[in-house]
Amino acid sequence: MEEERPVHLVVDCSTNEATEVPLTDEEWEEHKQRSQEHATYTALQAEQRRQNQEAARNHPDPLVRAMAEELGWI
Amino acid sequence: MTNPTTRYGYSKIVLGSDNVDVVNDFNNNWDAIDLKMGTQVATSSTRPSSPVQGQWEFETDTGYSRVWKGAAWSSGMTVGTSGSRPANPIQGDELYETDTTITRNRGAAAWNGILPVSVAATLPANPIQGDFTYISDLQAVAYYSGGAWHTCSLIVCTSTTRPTGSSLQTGSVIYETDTLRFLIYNGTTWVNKAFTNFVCTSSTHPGTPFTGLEIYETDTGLGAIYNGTNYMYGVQQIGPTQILGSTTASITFTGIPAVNRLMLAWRTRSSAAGGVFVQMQLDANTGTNYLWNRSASSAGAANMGHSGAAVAQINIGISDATTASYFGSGFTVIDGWNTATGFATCAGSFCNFSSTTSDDAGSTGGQFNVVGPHTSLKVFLSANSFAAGSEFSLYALP
Repeated sequence: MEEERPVHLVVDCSTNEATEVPLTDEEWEEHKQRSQEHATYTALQAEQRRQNQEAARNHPDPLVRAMAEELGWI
Repeated sequence: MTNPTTRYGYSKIVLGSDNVDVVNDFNNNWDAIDLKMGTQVATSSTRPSSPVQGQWEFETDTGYSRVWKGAAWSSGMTVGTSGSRPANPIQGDELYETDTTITRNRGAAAWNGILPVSVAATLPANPIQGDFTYISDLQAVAYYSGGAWHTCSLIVCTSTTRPTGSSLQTGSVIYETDTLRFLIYNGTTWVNKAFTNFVCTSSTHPGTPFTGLEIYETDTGLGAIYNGTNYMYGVQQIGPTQILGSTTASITFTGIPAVNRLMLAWRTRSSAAGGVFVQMQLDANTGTNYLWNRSASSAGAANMGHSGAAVAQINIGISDATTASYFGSGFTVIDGWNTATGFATCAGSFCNFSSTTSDDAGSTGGQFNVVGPHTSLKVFLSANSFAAGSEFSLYALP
């Protein structure tokens, strides 16, 4: 589900007034692109982690498996 | 009694008459004279029935001496108005003014007054220097200086019943029972001054502070207490804490006073899963003017990093939203905020929990390669937005 367009919050410390400023169209497109790139990166990172954990869990050397478990990798 | 005297009507003998009435022409006259000699003794209900102008009586029941002025009995005090006080008075004269209801007696050179209770809107007319009156609606005493009435006692009221009226002067003092404040009238309005704190600027401290005096600097937003030698400053929040009610891309604090040191504290959650950096820019400067360094641990593994070159923001923490209700928090202290000597730097710590097995914690530092003083601070994420419930507080440090 696509994120709703957020706002910038500007707080004037001299008056204590807080004002919400909508993102411009350009900011919003840039914001969406950055978030998408990060989502892709996060998914790749999660998959990499899963593969590494799988490899550690199935490693033939029991010492490696024990170390991975102790380090919290698996 | 065919030839009565002018005032009391005593019987006189008609010259040339051969008839002399001993009873009426002599005995009754002497009795009447005996009765009226000096001041006639009577009571308040048996005053002389046919007095003559200038006749005095003394009432045994009231103790008053009264004089008949021709149409009525008078206490002997002159009754007049404030605008027509007797000319050529002598010391000890008494006057009752019907328009002001003031009772006055004449001193050696001026009238003294015993003033009735008045109200702020209708102070006594034609007052004399030195007059005092109790103003019932202000519950205050006022004196007349010769030019104006001046309230000269503390007025107890509430913030919604502050006194008004011409007797208020610069320096009049009130105490508000609802706000527990003392306020001083500055000639125009009520202001809070130097009873428990003194409002000033960082360059206009009071000249002769006393130990325990509290000050508030309008230019820095800082409060301090004078300890007899120096002002000891406290941590001062700058602006109210912002707790986000909805997804927010960034939060910017503007109008930050020129204090030496700031502290930004946060509790954040990202709007989407996956760790992102909490980042900061100063003065809306988006140029490559920032450096940062991070020494942290992520899920038990070292997570070091640094900008390696000038970049467009300082990374001050990590945020995530992988698990419901998980938040991270942190703070960074920014030094050199108000100085034009050198660049502002920051240092702080943070933590972030993504799940029961994935977390981050560590310390960060950064630098803004532009000299101050600075005025605004923007916080945002490297991707996504801050989720509702994230909160930010900004404090000035001495």
